[in-house]
Parts: sequence; C-alpha cells; structure tokens
Amino acid sequence: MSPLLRRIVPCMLVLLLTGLAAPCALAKPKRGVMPPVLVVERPWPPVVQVRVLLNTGSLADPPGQEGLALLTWDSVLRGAGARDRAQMAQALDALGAHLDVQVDKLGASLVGEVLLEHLDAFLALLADTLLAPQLADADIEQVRAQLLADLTHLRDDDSALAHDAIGRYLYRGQALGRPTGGTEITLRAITPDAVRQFHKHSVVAGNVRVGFAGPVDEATAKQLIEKHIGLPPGTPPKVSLPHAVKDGRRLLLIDKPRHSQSEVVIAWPTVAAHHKDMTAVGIANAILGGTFTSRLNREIRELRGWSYNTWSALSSGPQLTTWALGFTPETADAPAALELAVKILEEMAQQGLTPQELRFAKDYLKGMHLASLETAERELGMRMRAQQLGMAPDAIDNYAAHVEAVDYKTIQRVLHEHIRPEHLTAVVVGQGRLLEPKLRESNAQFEVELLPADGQPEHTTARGKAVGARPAQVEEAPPPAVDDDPADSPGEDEPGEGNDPDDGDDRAPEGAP
Amino acid sequence: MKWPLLAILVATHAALAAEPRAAGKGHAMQLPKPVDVKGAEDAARTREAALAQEGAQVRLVSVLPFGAGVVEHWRLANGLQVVLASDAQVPVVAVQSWLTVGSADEVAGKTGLAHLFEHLMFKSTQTRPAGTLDRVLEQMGGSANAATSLDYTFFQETVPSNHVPVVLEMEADRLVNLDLTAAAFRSELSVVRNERREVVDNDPDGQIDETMSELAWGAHPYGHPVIGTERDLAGLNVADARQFYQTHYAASQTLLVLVGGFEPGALLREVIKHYGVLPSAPAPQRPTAALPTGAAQRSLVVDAGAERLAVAWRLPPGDHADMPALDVLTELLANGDSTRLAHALLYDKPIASHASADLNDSRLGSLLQVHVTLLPGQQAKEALARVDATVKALNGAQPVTDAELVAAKNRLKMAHFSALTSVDGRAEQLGHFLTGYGSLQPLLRFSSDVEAVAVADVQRVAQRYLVADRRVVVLGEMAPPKVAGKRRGGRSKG
Repeated sequence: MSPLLRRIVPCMLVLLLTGLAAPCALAKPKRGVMPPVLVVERPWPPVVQVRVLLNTGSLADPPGQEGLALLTWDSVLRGAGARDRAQMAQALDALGAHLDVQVDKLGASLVGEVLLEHLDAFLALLADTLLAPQLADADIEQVRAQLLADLTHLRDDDSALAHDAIGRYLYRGQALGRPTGGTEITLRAITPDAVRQFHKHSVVAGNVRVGFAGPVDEATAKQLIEKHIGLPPGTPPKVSLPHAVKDGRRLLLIDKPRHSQSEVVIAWPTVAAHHKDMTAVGIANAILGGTFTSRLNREIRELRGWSYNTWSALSSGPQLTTWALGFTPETADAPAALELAVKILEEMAQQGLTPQELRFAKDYLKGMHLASLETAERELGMRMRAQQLGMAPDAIDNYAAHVEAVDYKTIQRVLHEHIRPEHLTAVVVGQGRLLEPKLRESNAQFEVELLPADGQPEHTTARGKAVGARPAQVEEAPPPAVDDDPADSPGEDEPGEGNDPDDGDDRAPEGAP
Repeated sequence: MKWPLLAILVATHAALAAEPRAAGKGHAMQLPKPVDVKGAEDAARTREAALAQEGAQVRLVSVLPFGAGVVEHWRLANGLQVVLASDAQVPVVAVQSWLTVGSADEVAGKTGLAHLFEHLMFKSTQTRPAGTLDRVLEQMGGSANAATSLDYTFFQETVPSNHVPVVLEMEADRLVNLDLTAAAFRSELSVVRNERREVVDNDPDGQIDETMSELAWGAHPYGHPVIGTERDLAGLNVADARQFYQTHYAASQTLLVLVGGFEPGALLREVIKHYGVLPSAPAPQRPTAALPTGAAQRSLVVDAGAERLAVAWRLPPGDHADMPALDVLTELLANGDSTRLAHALLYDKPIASHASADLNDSRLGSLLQVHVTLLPGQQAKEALARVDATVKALNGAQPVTDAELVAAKNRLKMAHFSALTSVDGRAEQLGHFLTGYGSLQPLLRFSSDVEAVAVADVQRVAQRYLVADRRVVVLGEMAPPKVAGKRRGGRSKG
C-alpha cells in the first residue's frame, strides 16, 4: 500500500466509526510534538478508553505547596478552550463520555471513556482540557474548597485514613511522605499562578504519553492524536527521588474514641518494580496475604475470625515499592492480631517459604496474570504503568517465564533480604485510651505515638523529628535494573501481585450497607 | 437504534481492513462480524438432539443475541438452569452460581442468615476439607468471591479456560454436600460480625444506608439489613445454618452462568456430568409484598466531619415497563457534571462535595436514591431543600429538554457496555436479570428500550414517582457543639 493510501485508509475508518464530518486527510494537524501512543485493541464493546499520562505527580510539589499537582489536575477539568466549566461538562455529558483525573506521587492521568461513535469529538474536548485549560481563579478556588473538604472526609473513613497515614508516617521527613492531597495549610498557600505555571511546565513533549483501549487500531489512534494533540517543547519539573528508611518499629495510633474496631496497617519499603528481585517479592506476597489461603488470611481470618478484610499488597513507586499488610479487628483483638501478624512476618523472613508454597504461588500468579489481561482497559493500564515504572519491555508479555524462573534458593534469599521485621512501621486507627497501653506493652515492641482524633499525621514530621530514641537510618535505594530516567516512572499497585482491600468486595454482600 | 447501525459499520470496516491485514502492513481493526443468531440456534438444536440420543435430560430454552455473540439458555431435568455465552477471544471463563435466595427470604429474628451462609459455603464438604475450594482455585490462577443481595446470592469464580471442569465439580459438590461444623460456624460468624462493624457501625455512610432501608421498606421483606442486625447475628447458631441450607440450596434453585472462552457443546457435557446427578428439591415459597406507601423522614447524628443526606423514592419492581424511563430520569438528575443536581449542589453556590443518583432495581420494588455528602459546615437540611426544589422544577417550570435526554441516553449506553466488558460483568448481568426477573429480555432489550424513551416518558414518570407519598429522607447531621455550663458569676465558654 502506498504511503498516501496508508494514511487515508485509517482516516476512512475513523470517518465510518466516529462519524467525523470532514475527511481527516484534510484535517490540519496540531502544531507541536505528537506524544507516544500505545494501543490495546479489542473488537467489542464499542467503547474506547483513552488515558493521557503525565509524568508529573505530587513529588513535583514544591515544599510548602503539597497538593499543587492535585489542585492543578483537578482544575483542568473546570473548562478549557472556549468552553467554561458548565459548557465543558455539557459537551462531555452530551457524548455520554466521562473524563476523570488520577494523581499519584509521580504521575497524573486524564482517563476518559466514550462510545466509539463519539471518539473524535471526545478527543477534541480532551485535547482542549490537556493543552488549553482555562484555570480561572474562581474555578481553582472551587477545586481548593473541594480538596479541603476531602481532607475532612478522609478522617471519616478509617480505612482511607490508615492508608493515607501509613505512607506519610513510613516516609516521614522524605519526599514520599509528603501528602499528595496536601494539608489545610499547604493547600491554602498555593496561588492560582502556581497552578497555571505547574500546568505549563508539565504539558510538554517528553512528559506525556497517550493510550487507547478498545476497538481502535494503532494507525487510527495515531491519526487522531496527530490531529488533536501537539505538545510544546519544554522541560518538566524535576522530582526528588525517595530513599528507603530504616528506623526500627514505629506505630502511629490515631485515636477514634467511639469506634468499636481498629484499622491496622503495617508497611515497610522494598525494591523497585524494575528490580530483579521484584518477581520473587510478588511470589512471597501471594503467600503472605495476597490470597484467601495466604498465611495472614488463614491465621487472622479463617482460624480466629478476627477480621473480615485481611490482606497484603505491593504499591510500586519511584525507586522503591511499599509492601504493606492490614486487617480490621474488633478493638479487643487488635493488639493480639498485631502481634500475630508480626510473628508471621518474622517467621517468613527467617524460614522462608516451603517448596509447596513456592509452586502454589507461581501457578496462582501465572493464572491471575492471564485474567488481568482479559479486558483492553486492564491491559492498557498495566502496560502504561510498566512503562512508567521503567520495567523491562518483556515484563508483561514474558511474565509467566519470569515467575517460573524464580527458584527456591532465590525466594529464600529474597525473603531474608526484603522482609526486615526489625524495621516496620504501623498505623492503627482505633480507640486510643484502650489501645495505647496494650500496644506499648505488646510483644510486637513498637514505639507508639498517639495522635488525637482531629490530628494530622504530618504533625509528626512538622516537629522535625521522629518520635522515639533512635535516629533514622537512611538507606540508598538499589540501582534500577533497566531504566533510571525519573521521567519514566511512577506507580500504584503492581498487577497481579496484591490483594488490595479496595479492589473489590471480597465476599461482601451486594446491597449491604 | 444502536445495534443495526453498528452492524453496518462493522461489516464495512471489515472489508476495508482486509487488505492491510493480509499484506502484513498497517494495523487493522478486528471488529466482530455481525452475529448469526439463526446459525447459533441451529447448532444448539443439533447439540440438544445429540445429547438426547445419549440419554441426557437437557432442554434448550432459547438462543438470543448478546454482546458480540449469543447466549444459550438450557434447563436440566432436575431444574438447574444453565446459561452459556461463549467468547473465543478470552482465555478465561467466569463461572457463577446464582441461588434464588436473598435477605428477603429470611424469617424474623434470623436476619443476616443468607449473607452468613454465603460465607459458610467456603467451608468443608463431606469430601473436601475447609479451604479446598479457595486453594484449588488459586493454584490454577483463579479467583473466587461471592455476594448476597435482597433477592439472590451468587458465587463467582474466574479461571483459565482449561480448568473449568474442576470448578464445576467443586461447585456441584458444595451445593449438596456441605459439612457444617460448629467451630467453622463460630469463626465465620465472628468474621461477619466484624464485617458489620466495618461497613455499618463504624461507617457514617453505612449507618445512613441501613436507616434508609429500614425507613423506606418498614415491615416489607426488604426492610431489614442484608448483613443482618447485630442482635440477630449474635443469636444465630449452626442449626439455623443447616436448616437454611436444606431449604434453599439445591440444583432446582440454581442458575449456572458460564461466560468466556469455551466450546459450548463440550462445556454443557461437563455441566450435565457434574450437576445432572443432583436431586431436585421443592422450591420454597418466595415472599411477596406490596410496595409500602407514605412519606418518611429521620435524622441521625453521625460521627463525621460533614453532614450527609439520602433521599429515596419507592418505585415498582425492576421489570416494570417504566424502568427505562426511570433509568433516564435517574441519569439526568445527578449522574454527570452538567446534570440538575450537580448544578444545584456542587457548582452553583456549592454546598456539597459529592452528589449522585442510583436506581437500585429489585424483584419486589426498587429505589431511586440520591446521596449527598455536604461540604464541612453546610447543612443536610439545605441540601434537602435544593433536592426538593430541583424535583419541583423538573415537574413544573423547567421540564426535561431534548439535550438532557440525549446526554442521559448516551451515558446509559456507555454504562451498559462498560458493565459487559469483562466476562465477570457479563455473567453478573445475565445472572441478575434471570434470577431476579426470570427473563433476559430486560437486559437484552436495554439499548433499544432506552433509545425509545421520549421526553414525555421521562416527564410522566417524574410526575408519577417523584412525589411526597413515595419520598423517604435520611438526614445525617452533626451533633451540636458542646457548650460548657455557665460558671456562677462568669461568662460562658463556647
């Protein structure tokens, strides 16, 4: 096929499937640099997911302006191009489309879904949102009010509060410990100009990539992006990379005086997603708390009935991964459950897995990986995340082989090196008056700090010291195996390696309150 | 009409795409061919005849278009219903068992038993120790879960296609051979009571939802919480559970839904092999009840940093002819940033951080619910006034516009397709409609039914159903700030 025909045929397909009014061969391409495009194609249903990924998340927030990335990316949804907020909302709603923003430490995503027949019109709105948001003062103020309200709502949700607090407490004093959602003080300190500048410096060539999932082929996707999105040259904000910290066993107890249950999370840092040991860490996680038959589930949920949610999970971030476990026992059971969880960790670090457990976990992860690629949206999310985290190009396609290659000797070494029970950080949300003395006396031997119900975890770092006698030891993160470009990172949960409590209703009643 | 148009586009595109794919150049779209329902039905009839010759007692009920393929509905002689939706593109299969028992089937004083029993189904059987199902499933790279609702309980597994026969064997086993011990019962009851603490007692939104169910349905079978009251849970014993199992768990009360990568003929033979031998059992009488009437409102004090509001209107059962128009009404009320409640609560003089509307359809009646989370310092009563004003305007000065109708229809189409993207989602939709309403038609007709809704239909159902006699309100309010008592001769401290 001639180059011209190759260019026109996809355009004809777009015309047919998206109802474009004008032939796209005549459409004027956007000036600027076209971002890289990744496509995961599936024939059905006639819905397309589009993800625009920017490598600028909350790690790029200047000190004292925590929440800037979130405020910026939430604000871009408040009108763009010639449309104000209401007109943009009306235009998206008319297509039946939705467009949301997700922000984490290293990145932000604009994620939208639209019927195939409206894809072209949707991309025009998405491009305006990305490239030409209005970012008017009044809209930024409304978003700021919403984010301040979110801080209040966070304190009403014990699980969300514990998950937020563990990241901040585990990495206190470091860039990773600064809250993506900001604090009341830092959110109020951000000016509208700072928001506009953050956006300007982020939406530049080299900092943006686009993904499509659904009944769209690669040529059509590229044609559409060439038409709609041209990026200016520029340099994205630099981010400071985090380090792993070692400072003994520490526990933050957040007081909820009237709650009959405790939310418990224990976490520690481990290697980055692209590290050679990560596959083995994923295997170990499946045995620790990543399945219903895991050690934690068997001991805490099945045998003792102490908790409904019992889990462990890996959250991949820049240069390191946070390995965490959690459960939600009645107040009276919380100290014993915490002790038991620590004991399980100690045993796993010292004795490793059995050969049977290793075989079981390998088979489990290989099968789950198959299921995780079932829909185009899941596969696109995994592939874009793997790119961001700098994982090897074959990390997804050859995952089963990587899992199978982990031998018994390796898994024992990895467990010994990457579960460090002497350095654990815990957060417990529950009745402070009842729990504090018991946790201080517990054989789990945590240094305990009590935070009042209306307190904020950052108060700990705001005082400029870690509570307890021993100073923090900082450990350099290990060198990455593949790609050390900070612009090629961020992260959320590692696919197929966790049993995140928020992923679903593990035997939860539909319709139950 | 969406489907015929799409079919034309698909056929045209396939022709265009053929050349570059054959030449190995470019990246052609691989859209599915239009489904040949007649051909699929002929193939199923041929299989039915072959099975009859082999002595299998199985009957083909229907073959209907579904998604990019077809859905086959079969019935075994013992009453087991089987639904097969094959999708060769997918390397996994969703296996779901739907039981026609939910919390509405519970008797007074035993609330929560249906949900507790859902948990107990993962315990030992007469031939398999406790935890076997989870262990075997996970070893094959599968996952298992379950859920209980007002009208049904379902168990779901997703496994690589080659492992489905093992799953069928284990599912058939636990349907009739569960071996409940007192120890297993006690530990799982403890898990469920912890679940209740987590999702109700320590969660302000859970408390609002539980109060809403009680207030909206009263003595109706839907009036008690699916998870059960703490008092009832504390009083349950293993004998209650055994009785429940004997009454409600049988092949004749089960719908088996299989969606994913399989060959229908071979899989149906596996189903017959494992389930065909199970006995039938008399179906217990399911509850019936009229829709309650009368306005209701209650305030509760929530332990939270911001107030909440829930407003609901009682609606007819989910298979009622007005449902498509009610779906559209629900969408244009709150599910989009340009909708009426979004303007009234979130954007024009905002007082809330979240506002949404849901239509929860069920067998004996449904609820259109609006949930609002206020901004700190704002009052639920003010949100209620704005919701009421929005509904009043909809029924009077500001009727539904054509633009609102188009947007709501597009959003519903999107949501419908999104729900059918995964094999689990497809199986869940099939199970919900067939177990809840005894028919797949409301699901299969969804797109065309929604497309047929006119502005006048939406206006009519708004005027009929969004009325005071059907309205139920729960205000989640903050406790008033404590004021210290006056010191004699001194000033009060706020």
